[in-house]
Formats: sequence, structure tokens, C-alpha cells
Amino acid sequence: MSPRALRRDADPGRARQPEAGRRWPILVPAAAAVALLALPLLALLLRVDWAGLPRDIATPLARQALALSALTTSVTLVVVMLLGTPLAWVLARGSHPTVPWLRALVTVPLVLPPVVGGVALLAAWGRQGVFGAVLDDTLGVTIPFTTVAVIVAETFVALPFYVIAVEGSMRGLDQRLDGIAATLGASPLRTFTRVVIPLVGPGMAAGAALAWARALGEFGATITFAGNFPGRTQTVPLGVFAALEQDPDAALALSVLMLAVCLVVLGALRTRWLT
Amino acid sequence: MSRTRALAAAATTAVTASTVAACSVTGTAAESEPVTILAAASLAGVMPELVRASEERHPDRDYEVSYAGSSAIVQQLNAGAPADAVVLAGETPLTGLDSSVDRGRVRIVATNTLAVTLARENPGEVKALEDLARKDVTVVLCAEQVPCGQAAQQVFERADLAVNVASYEPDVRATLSKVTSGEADAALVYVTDAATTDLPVLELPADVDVRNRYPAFSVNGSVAGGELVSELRSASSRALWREAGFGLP
Repeated sequence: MSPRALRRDADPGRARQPEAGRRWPILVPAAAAVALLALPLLALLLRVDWAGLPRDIATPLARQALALSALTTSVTLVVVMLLGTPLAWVLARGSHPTVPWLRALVTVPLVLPPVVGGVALLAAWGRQGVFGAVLDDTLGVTIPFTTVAVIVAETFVALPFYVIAVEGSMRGLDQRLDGIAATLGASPLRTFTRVVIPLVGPGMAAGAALAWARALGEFGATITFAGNFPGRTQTVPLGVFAALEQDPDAALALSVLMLAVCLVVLGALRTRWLT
Repeated sequence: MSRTRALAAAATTAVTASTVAACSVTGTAAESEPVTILAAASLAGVMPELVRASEERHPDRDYEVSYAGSSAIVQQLNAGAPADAVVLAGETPLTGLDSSVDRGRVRIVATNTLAVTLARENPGEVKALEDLARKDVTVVLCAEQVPCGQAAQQVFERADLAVNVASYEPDVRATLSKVTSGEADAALVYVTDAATTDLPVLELPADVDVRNRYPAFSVNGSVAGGELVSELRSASSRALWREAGFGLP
């Protein structure tokens, strides 16, 4: 659309829509994009056996996967918030020359293919890994194939989402507020917990929702690093993958459930994004 | 894993198909579409050699092989994946094949048995099949939807063993990779896969071993696919199968 068309659009005296013949070069690809995104989700809803849904979700595979996903994503969320909030603050206010590098580092897992993340986690924390071998030798602790490995994988992929979102809110904060708190004698920790966190609450909630949804959907790093065992490392996405070849109805039912959860998360964030 | 592989295969097929189409316009080299073979993951070692033999026989044909777990292959076929020939690692997945898939006659082209592959230096100190039931031994198996997983379950049933399984992997290659990387102490894989590594191998007692039969068939009336299936049973192919450690029907 040309700037002139836009101006005409804004002019209340004229017709609000330019003639259809001029708009199709934009509308047709836009409609194709909507179709590309919406049709598979619609197909999922059309294909699922609604009457059998409660039964499919109650199968042992689905129940175990749901319980495991609920547990691991909850723990992941706690870890992400405890570690991510201070990191976001460092990135938002830090003046050290390493800060831009740190920010770049945080972004890497965001764009890295998750399966590569899984390979990297194995290289680090696997039984033969750089640090995992030490853990195994000194403490007799092995991480792969355990629920802890699932949480590590989920934290690895979800933490950046939280940090980036919260850092954004923290940068938007008026620097004078925490400056005043400091001049009034508040320690950095007290300033952080009493002034900063209450002010960036909405940003933290949004970041937490995003990070949680990302952890819930985690597949590649989990199957690579944690393996696939029902009740121990088989989360919902791994369960969907396993069920697809064994019990397609259960796979569809779990998929619809995941879609519903995503819609709820988006609904909760609507004030942030959907306005 | 097999999902990524399937995607990669689909992408390669699309790219090659367009390259071939471009070639035929300018009238050079290969005139035909590539012959697509969907093969079980346990065939990744031997299939390239078998296909090379066919390529020598038909210089005008291009062959492409995509590997996945047998159940994933059946899933792909049911979803309409283009293929000329299919080779699976067991007969059970065939029961899941949709009746809408137009397949040729099923021929058994090879057989295979299982063996326990141990991690380097045998950290789990596994000396007999019974050791796999010890709590301190990390064992990985194929998932039960793929034939090597079903065969493994049968082995443990026959041996009356409750194994402490750490993970069910999507196909035999993924299972083997857990012991080659040293993350698991032992994996039950095909003898042919065990032979591709230099890791210690524990043979199964004859009374618990399971022999899988590999069915092959052409799809959608593909002539090239049908010919490949017969060629997989030729004398020269039999030599290749045997060399790779497979049994013959």
C-alpha cells in the first residue's frame, strides 16, 4: 500500500476502504498466511474424536505424560524465575562491557534447534560429558534418562524467553526510581525486591507464561538428552510422538489438549499482545 | 528423530525432483524421477550397497533411500508419502498399513536377530543377559512400536526377565547411539547394527533369541520399485545381505 493510499484511508471524508482492485496484492498473500496457520489447527479440531476425548486423555500413556509435564514445567518455571529475574536485571542495568555479550549468549538457545540443544546438554551433562563425567565419578550422579534431565532441557530452552521478556520491562523502568531507593539507603537486594520486582510484575507474568508454554512444548532437547520412558521422561510432546504410531486417537486428543492450553496462555496474555 | 528425518527426506525429494525436472528440460542426464525407497533404520548400513548394485544394473535410474523406524514408515505411507519400494524390519507394522495404500506382493528379503551391545569397556559389567535386570545397569531398548522393540520384548519374555529400562528410543539407530556415546551400559539391537561398531557384543542364548523377517514390497504399481524388490533377492544381493550379517529367508 502506498503512503498516499494510507493517508486516504485515514481521511474520514473519503471512503474508508480503497477499491478492492488495489488491495488484492496485499489481501491475497495475507489470506494465504492466515490459511497456512489456521487450517492445520482447524483440521486438528475436525479430526479429533470428541466423544472419545475423555477416554483418550485417560489412557495410562496420556495420564502419565500429563502428570510428568505438569511436574517438570512447574519446577522449570520456578527455576527460570529464580535465576532469570536477577539475570534480566543484570542485562537491563549492567554497564560492564560483557553485558552485550551476555545478552547475545542468552539469545542463542532461543534460536538454536532444540535437538542441537539436546546434543550440547549431552556433551556437558551426559555420563561421558565434560561436567557429567565429573559428577558421575565424584558423586555417582547421572543426569540423562532422569526427570531431572527433562527439567534441565526445559530450563535450557525456556529461560531465554523469560529473560528477554523481563529485561524488556526492566529497561522500560524509570532509572530514577531505583536511584532514589538507593540514595534512601536501600541495599541493591532490597531495591530489587521492593522496588523493581513490584514494578515489572506484568512483564514477569508475561515472561513466565511464555517460558512455561515453551517448556511444555519442548521435544527435541528432551528426547535427545533425557530419552523416552513413560512416567519418567516421556512428557506430553514425546507422548504425542509415541502415540502417533500406536494410538493416533490418543495423539490427536493430547494435541487438542495442548492447543487448548496454548489458547488459555494466549488469552491470559491478551492485554499484552492481542490489543 | 524419525520425524526430522522424514522432513529432511521430503525436502531432499522435492529438491531432487525439481533438479531432475530442470535437467529434462535441457535434455541432459537423468530423464526419470528418482526411485524412492523407504527403508527401516536397521538397513542404513546395507541398503546403500544393495542400491548401488541396482544402480549399476539400471544406469538411467536414480535411487533415493529414506530411513526411519518401520512404524514411522507405515505412518508416512498411510499419509500418502510418495514411494516406489518399501523394506520394513518386521511383519507386524504391515498390519497397520492402510488398505488405501496400493502395495505389490510382499516378499521376505532378509532376516535378523538381536544381540546386546555394551558400552566401551563394559562399565555396567554385563556378563550375561540376566545382568540387564540389575538396577545399576542402564539399558536402552527400541520403542515397542518398532520391530526391534517388539523383538526385544519377546526376548525378555522368553528369558523371563524384568529389565530396568532407561529409555525407549524411536528406532534402532537411536538406540545404538546411546551405547556408542556411552550414555547407556547396554542396548538390545540387531546383530547387524551391533556389527557396525567395535563395541563388545553379548550374543543371546539360542532359546531366547527372536528372528525378525524383513518384508519388501513395491508401492503404487511402481515398475522400478517392483524390480528393486526382486533384485533384493538376487544372488549378488544375497551375498551383500550375508556379508552385513543378515540371515536369508
